[in-house]
Amino acid sequence: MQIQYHSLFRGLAVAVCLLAGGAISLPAAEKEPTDADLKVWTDGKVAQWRPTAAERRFDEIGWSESLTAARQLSSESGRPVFLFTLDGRIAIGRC
Amino acid sequence: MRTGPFSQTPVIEKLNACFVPVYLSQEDLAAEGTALASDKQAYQQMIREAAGKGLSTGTVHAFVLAPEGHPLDSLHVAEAAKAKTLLAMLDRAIAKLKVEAGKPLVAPKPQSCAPECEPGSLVLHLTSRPLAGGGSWDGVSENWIVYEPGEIGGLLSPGKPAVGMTWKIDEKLATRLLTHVYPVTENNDVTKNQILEQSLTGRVLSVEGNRVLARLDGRLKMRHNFYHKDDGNTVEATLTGYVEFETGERPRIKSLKLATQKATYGGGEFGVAVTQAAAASR
Repeated sequence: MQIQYHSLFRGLAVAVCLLAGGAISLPAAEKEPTDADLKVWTDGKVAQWRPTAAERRFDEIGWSESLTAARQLSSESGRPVFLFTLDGRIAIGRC
Repeated sequence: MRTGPFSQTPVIEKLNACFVPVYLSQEDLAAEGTALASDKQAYQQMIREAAGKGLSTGTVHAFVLAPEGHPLDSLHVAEAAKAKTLLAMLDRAIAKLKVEAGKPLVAPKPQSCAPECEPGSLVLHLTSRPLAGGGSWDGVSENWIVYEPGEIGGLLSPGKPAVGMTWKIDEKLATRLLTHVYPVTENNDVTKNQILEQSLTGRVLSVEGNRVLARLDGRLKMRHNFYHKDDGNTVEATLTGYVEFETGERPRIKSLKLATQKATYGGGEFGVAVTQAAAASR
């Protein structure tokens, strides 16, 4: 009987752990903002994480709208075309 | 590349002074893609010629083309990502073609912009960035999410708002936003994301006349592969924020902001911030 109780207890313990694991599988908040500090907290995070000027220096390059336009300008100016091809969208950093 | 060599002063200056820079996405260059037909044709011709000359080719690649359109040089992205190697390729072309430095031929302008949309639409700008522990690429990524005027009511409390009233945001509308809550990875086809659990709810905090402030709380568990193959990686995130809106026949959102309280992926943590952006009118 002792072994059976032990097995039962272990089974229950495992089940409780699995259920608890499922219930808390999402990451816990480090400090949940209260209703009172909600706007300050959210505004702070948005300001902190939005792209900085340094992270958008890509915009400082004078990119042509198309390869056709770039080749036309290249032909007229004598400057070579620099072409970068990619999967995804480099303008938004999703590539 | 965006926050790597393309953000470094020597590369920016050299591209602007001596080249005609252009970037093209393979999605656009595909048969059904949105690139100009002339771009697709020129690209295919250039790739064939580059391969014939023994230059490296590939989908993610840097090329230098002579003013006559012929490929001169190329680098795989793994090499182009090294600023020194990229600069060396640019310098070879400048020397070979005896290029004289000058002003940019195309005026630089922001490349990540709100999409054009119907007047009265709600445009949200989402930023995702790594915070700690790895699991994603460095750098920051962005998405623009649009809700058309007729959809805005589905984001807000139904009926007359009262303090304490709670509601569940239309699941389809919430999904449009939450599917972009993932860090900087190689796979950006959100149709491959699999949402396992999601919720986005509102709770009215205050009502002053027709102006309402409500708290937003969200939760997400979503399968998202780092590359385009199954790797079991999962985003787990909790989000909090607020929405301020005016009630009426056509409710109007004055402000909407959200941020992750905690978000994990691939053993690392990342942060996502969402804010309302000015829409570009059609």
